[in-house]
Amino acid sequence: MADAQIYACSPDLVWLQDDNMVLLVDRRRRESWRLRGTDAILWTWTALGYRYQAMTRMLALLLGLSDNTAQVRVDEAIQAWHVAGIIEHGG
Amino acid sequence: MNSNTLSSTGTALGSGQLPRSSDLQSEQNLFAIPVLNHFLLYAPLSGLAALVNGVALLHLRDGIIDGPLSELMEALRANVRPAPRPIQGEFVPHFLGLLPTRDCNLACRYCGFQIAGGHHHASMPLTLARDAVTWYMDQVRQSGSRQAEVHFFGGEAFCAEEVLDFSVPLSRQLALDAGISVKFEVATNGAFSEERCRWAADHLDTVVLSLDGPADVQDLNRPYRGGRGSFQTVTRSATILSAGSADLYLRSCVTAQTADRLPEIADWFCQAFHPAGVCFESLQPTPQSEAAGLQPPDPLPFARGFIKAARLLASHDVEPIYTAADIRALRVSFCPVGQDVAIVSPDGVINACYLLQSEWEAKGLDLRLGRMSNRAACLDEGAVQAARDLNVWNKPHCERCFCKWHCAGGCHVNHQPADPTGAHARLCVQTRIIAVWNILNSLGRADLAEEWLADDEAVNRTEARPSDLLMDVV
Repeated sequence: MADAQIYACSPDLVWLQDDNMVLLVDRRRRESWRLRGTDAILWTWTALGYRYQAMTRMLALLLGLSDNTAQVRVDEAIQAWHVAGIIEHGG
Repeated sequence: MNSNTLSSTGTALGSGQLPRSSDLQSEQNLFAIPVLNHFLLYAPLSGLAALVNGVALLHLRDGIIDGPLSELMEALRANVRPAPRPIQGEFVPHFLGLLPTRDCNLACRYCGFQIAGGHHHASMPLTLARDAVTWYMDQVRQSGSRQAEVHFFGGEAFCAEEVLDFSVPLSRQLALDAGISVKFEVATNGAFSEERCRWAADHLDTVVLSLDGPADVQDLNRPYRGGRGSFQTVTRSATILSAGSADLYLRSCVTAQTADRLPEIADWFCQAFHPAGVCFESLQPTPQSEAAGLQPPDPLPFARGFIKAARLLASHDVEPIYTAADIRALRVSFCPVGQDVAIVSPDGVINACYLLQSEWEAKGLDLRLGRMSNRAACLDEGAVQAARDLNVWNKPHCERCFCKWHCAGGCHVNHQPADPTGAHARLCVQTRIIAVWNILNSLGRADLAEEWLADDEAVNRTEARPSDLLMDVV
């Protein structure tokens, strides 16, 4: 389960907020990613230190989803970031 | 009269009827203000001003108009804009105000919010924020407007940061769905983390940051609860905000002790940060400020300090802000009250004003407009009308003041335009001084403005008059 995992991003990763988008750049690997919509919102909340449960609750309210569906959306986003190499298991 | 003295103030001109001289006077919109041995003729609805001598003034008052005076009157008759009127018809929110909490992490020595009752310290539930934002964005969409605005007030808004972290993306999403744009503004004390500050710099459009001045001023006036100074944290925030995409406006509360330091404060602001504008506001006396020995500045030192600071700010392309004396604006209300703004408090009550309910109730005002209920706003039409009725048309003391369409009588709660003797109140005096200075500068007569401002007696003659109307000139 995603809430039992601890992830971390590379210290070489930087990000900036643009219009409706978060741009992530890994300076060492010379890779970049663009997060939009829900992904951008979740990334921002993560960067601000919100915990998993708080993010799912806020996402459920924001999108009008059930808590379970919101949890699935959060899990999917985290999994996608992991697969893309934006975050890694850590802690 | 020297015809060379006839000049436009350079303000925007609108269209309107071309009233006769008598109409202008009866509309009470043609003013004559003594400035040294001149008279400043001012027609705010035309956006025009001229300097005339005493003989010309009396001719104008009496309608004896020929020669160069006819040219002047023709200019004053042209392009008269209609006097501003209160809003009528359906309530369409001008902007949405959200009060995430009344709580605050500072204990400013002049602030009455810290003594607010415990129920004020609750945070706004996210479900309420969702309902308010959704209702508001729907209102904007239905009105056909393409622009929405959400403002966050406090207490300190970031003491309930989750309300902002939730409301901003929700508003953006709803705006995107409706094909409209949305802007965000927050009024904050800046006493928060670097990460939070970076978020504000990148996600908001306007940040109004309260920073009274250098460390000795800031730490004295605006300490944390417990007494620790806030200067270090707040200046760190100002530095981060200076580098972000949000427009940074610095707001300094001016006391009798700091009035003569405004140029120094303005200079420091410009050197240390990158503000889009700087606002200097006089201390509004409260029981707390009186207990702390803080006094409001006297009007003339404040006006002189502001004007020096304004000149310095302008030289750095920073906007000096003293809204009440902004001669570019015509308005009937100085603040959100009466302008169909919906300000939602943490308990779901919708008010016209962001001040504490106890403050306006103490002045015999009820500024509640309604309440959020069942995911919608239930507004009381009578309350909306009552708020709209709080406007300069209903402030008798303002009737004969040249500044009435600019300051609109000021704050409905905390400002009484006249003192018990009927003389202009302290805030009126400084507003009138700054407004005259603005008009003279718009005429290109900075030299005269300087000479006048340096002369205590001349300034007193200008500001102390019970009526500025041309027809009342004796």
